[in-house]
Amino acid sequence: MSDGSEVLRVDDLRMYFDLGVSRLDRFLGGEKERKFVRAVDGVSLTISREETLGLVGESGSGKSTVARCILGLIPATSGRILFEGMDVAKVKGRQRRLLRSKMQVVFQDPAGSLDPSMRVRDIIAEPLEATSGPPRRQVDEAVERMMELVGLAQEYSNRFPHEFSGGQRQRIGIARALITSPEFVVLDEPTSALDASIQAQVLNLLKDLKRNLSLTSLFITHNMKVVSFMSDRIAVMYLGKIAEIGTRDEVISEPLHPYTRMLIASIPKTDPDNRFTESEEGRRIMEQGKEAPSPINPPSGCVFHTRCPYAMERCKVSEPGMTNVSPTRSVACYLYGDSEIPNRAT
Amino acid sequence: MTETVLTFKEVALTFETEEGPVKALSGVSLDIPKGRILGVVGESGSGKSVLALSTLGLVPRPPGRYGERSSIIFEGKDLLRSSEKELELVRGTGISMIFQEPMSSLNPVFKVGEQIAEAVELRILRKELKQARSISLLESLRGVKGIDESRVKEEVLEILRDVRISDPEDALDRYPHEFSGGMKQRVMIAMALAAKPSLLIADEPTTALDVTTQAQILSLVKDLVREFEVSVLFISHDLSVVSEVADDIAVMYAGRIVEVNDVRSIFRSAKHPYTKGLLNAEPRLSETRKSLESLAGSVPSLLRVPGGCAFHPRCPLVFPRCEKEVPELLPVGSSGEVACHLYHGEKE
Repeated sequence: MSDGSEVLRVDDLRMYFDLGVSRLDRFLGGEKERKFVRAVDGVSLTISREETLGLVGESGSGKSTVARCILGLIPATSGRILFEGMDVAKVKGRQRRLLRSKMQVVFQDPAGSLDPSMRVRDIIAEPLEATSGPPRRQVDEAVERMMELVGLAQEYSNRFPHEFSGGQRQRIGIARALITSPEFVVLDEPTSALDASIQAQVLNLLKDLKRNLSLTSLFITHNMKVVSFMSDRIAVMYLGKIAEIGTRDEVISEPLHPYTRMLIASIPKTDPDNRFTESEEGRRIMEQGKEAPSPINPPSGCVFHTRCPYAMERCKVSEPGMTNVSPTRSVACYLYGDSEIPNRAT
Repeated sequence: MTETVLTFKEVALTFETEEGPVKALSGVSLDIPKGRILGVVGESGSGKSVLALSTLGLVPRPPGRYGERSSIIFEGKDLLRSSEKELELVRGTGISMIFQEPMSSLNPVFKVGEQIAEAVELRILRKELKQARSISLLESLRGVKGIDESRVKEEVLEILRDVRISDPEDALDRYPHEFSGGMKQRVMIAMALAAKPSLLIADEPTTALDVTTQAQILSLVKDLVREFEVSVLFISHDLSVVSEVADDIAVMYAGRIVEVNDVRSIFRSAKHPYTKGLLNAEPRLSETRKSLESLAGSVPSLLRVPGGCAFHPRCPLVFPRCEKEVPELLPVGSSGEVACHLYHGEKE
């Protein structure tokens, strides 16, 4: 388990995508207001060594944008990301290359993230060659080791990605991510495109690797069941904000935020005697019938108030801050505390 | 015996491709009883979607070719041997379908109200002209024969209310892109139901939706099935989604049905090793297992389906007979059928 030392710290991260002023509006001389998508709007979190933090949310919640900011793939609008004390946005040159080799990523679509014209051996070797450039023999050995680690037969090393099934391609993606012996791995929906029986294989592999290689990771998914299997701690995101963060057991067995409760109640149940479509909570969700609003025009106050069954007057006007309800857990909801975020003009 | 709405009988479908014949369906026999929801679950390449398309005569022939003994019986007629004109009448009036992607199934340049009205008008006309032989005839009559427009509008509004669209008057004049994914799927369902079909086919209707929206749509489908007394063929790759809505479940693997039973029996006492594998491969919310019980290997390509039982290379309980002989789908226990040598005949 975790020794408690912090590997990653994200402080008040914001990522606004500028949509500019619509050309039609400019032409008509109407509203000249710049529009922004507030993809990530004030996210703070930490990940300790050897810990897996699950980041769960529906489409448009901003979970993948958080990952791209952490990896330095897009410059954040504001906020700070510290990896082992280094500010990800500020490192340059050699330091930056070193940082890259310590942080790796596995993407959702194994077909789209592997170069179809490269052989498996070269795909897996590329990150190692790009960062430290060791001699060929050493690279070959590392590739062999990686292929064995993820359960790919050596005779496949000269084949091309299209010759593999989805599950095998995801193994190639994992081998490529791990070859630089990274200290931190982002797993962005790594099993969402896979069939159920194959998803189980890849989840088991990831869990074994996490144990055997003492990996620290951020596991992003929309699937509550998958996040529950993989994570030590879980953060639930909604419209660019964290609704609730805590240990896996806390969040799964006793969800506090009304959104987390709704998410958990919505999970289809394999047991026909435990169907949500026949439960009280399920009825409520259906009758209320609302879907998540757009992050271009997020609701005022608490972003969830438009769908919340417990919304109070206060939730419509002012935004709840994170309240610590236990040493390991905090929730952004007035039902659990008075912490408030002062109104800020954008 | 309960009444049957649709019967698949020994449906076999082969596609001729450059790489050789693809056996998309092999010997599929299945009944959909009246007023029940039959869930069909299978991974990619299991043949579940092509089964749905076959029902509506939407499989292009060639390259598709059905076996000589194959038939799909709906209202006494074999859909595989019906003319294109007969099929047109069945589509949207006897059998309706909702697809995975609502955006690509709705016409982006027509208002939602108009699209639902079309389905309503066709149904009204069809009823008046029982002997009408083709949809194109009905289409051309739409302009000529004065249909009471206010009656159509009333009915469209009623259907929009049925699918729980909160402001139906407002929805009428909107275009599909103005709706969220879940609302679009409601409109699709409204169009499907406007025809008052006796069978509704839903092919992965919630796969593109978020989980909370999926919950709403699944509850809605279940409610409407009761209200409209329609039978449903519900197709999904997700066993838990199927378990939420279905009365009965058929599990498909490599173009064959490997097990059929009522949903409770599947959950409590699955017989086929593949069904058991699917149940155990799914992570549970309150997961205490250190690792999931995964099935080895991968889903076979339909170009190279393993001989004997197609599942034998991945089966933990395989024995010699499985490699040679295809198991038949036969009754087992008090309910259900399974295609597995473990349950039928000698093991040696």
